[in-house]
Amino acid sequence: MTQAVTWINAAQTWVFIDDYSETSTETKTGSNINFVSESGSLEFFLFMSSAKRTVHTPNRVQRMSTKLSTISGFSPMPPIHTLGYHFSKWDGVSSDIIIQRSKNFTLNQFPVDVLWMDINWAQNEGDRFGEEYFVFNPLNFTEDGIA
Amino acid sequence: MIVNPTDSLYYENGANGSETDVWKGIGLGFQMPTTKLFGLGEREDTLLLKRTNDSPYELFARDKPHRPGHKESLYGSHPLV
Repeated sequence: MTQAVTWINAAQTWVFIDDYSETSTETKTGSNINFVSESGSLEFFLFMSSAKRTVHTPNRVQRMSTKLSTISGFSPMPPIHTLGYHFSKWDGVSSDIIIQRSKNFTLNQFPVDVLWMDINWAQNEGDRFGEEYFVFNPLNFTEDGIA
Repeated sequence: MIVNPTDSLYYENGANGSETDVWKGIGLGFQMPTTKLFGLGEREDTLLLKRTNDSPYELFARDKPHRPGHKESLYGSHPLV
């Protein structure tokens, strides 16, 4: 028998795992799993499978994974470019820098599929507020530079 | 639906007005007839889930350096046991 529990809560959550034992009629041992979330609503799903594995059927762990996917959604196949060569650098970045980097790869005949920019692409609101996501840093990414 | 609108997980006010740390929030316990548990994540530790005693596993994705043998959560967060 394989069992699983999935806890649906986006808030910060703690999971406590302790021994469980009960000796009322016969001695049972196992685990207590305690989920505690700081906010939100109570939502969870339980899965189990006791099917025996045969040559033609998935094993119980595979069955658990399939059952979970009916809740969370089945993973799509990755886009083909994600399997290529990625270049990622945590560094200062501007439209000029990223275009120059792309040209340098071409110049040196190095095939690159994806250029990543780290967090410095974003508008920075100062130390106290950090980056504002979804807004390009207007100093390094001008209308002309992006176009 | 059960909600915790005041986010009162961390503190509760004592008799003298002082705040006391408590484990409180939306919670539920599950009994499994086995000690071999897998899941949660992401962490740099054994695949087999350990007894937590006073330091629980945490479902909260963090951008922290890896610490081998610790329960601290890293990038990923998978709410399945």
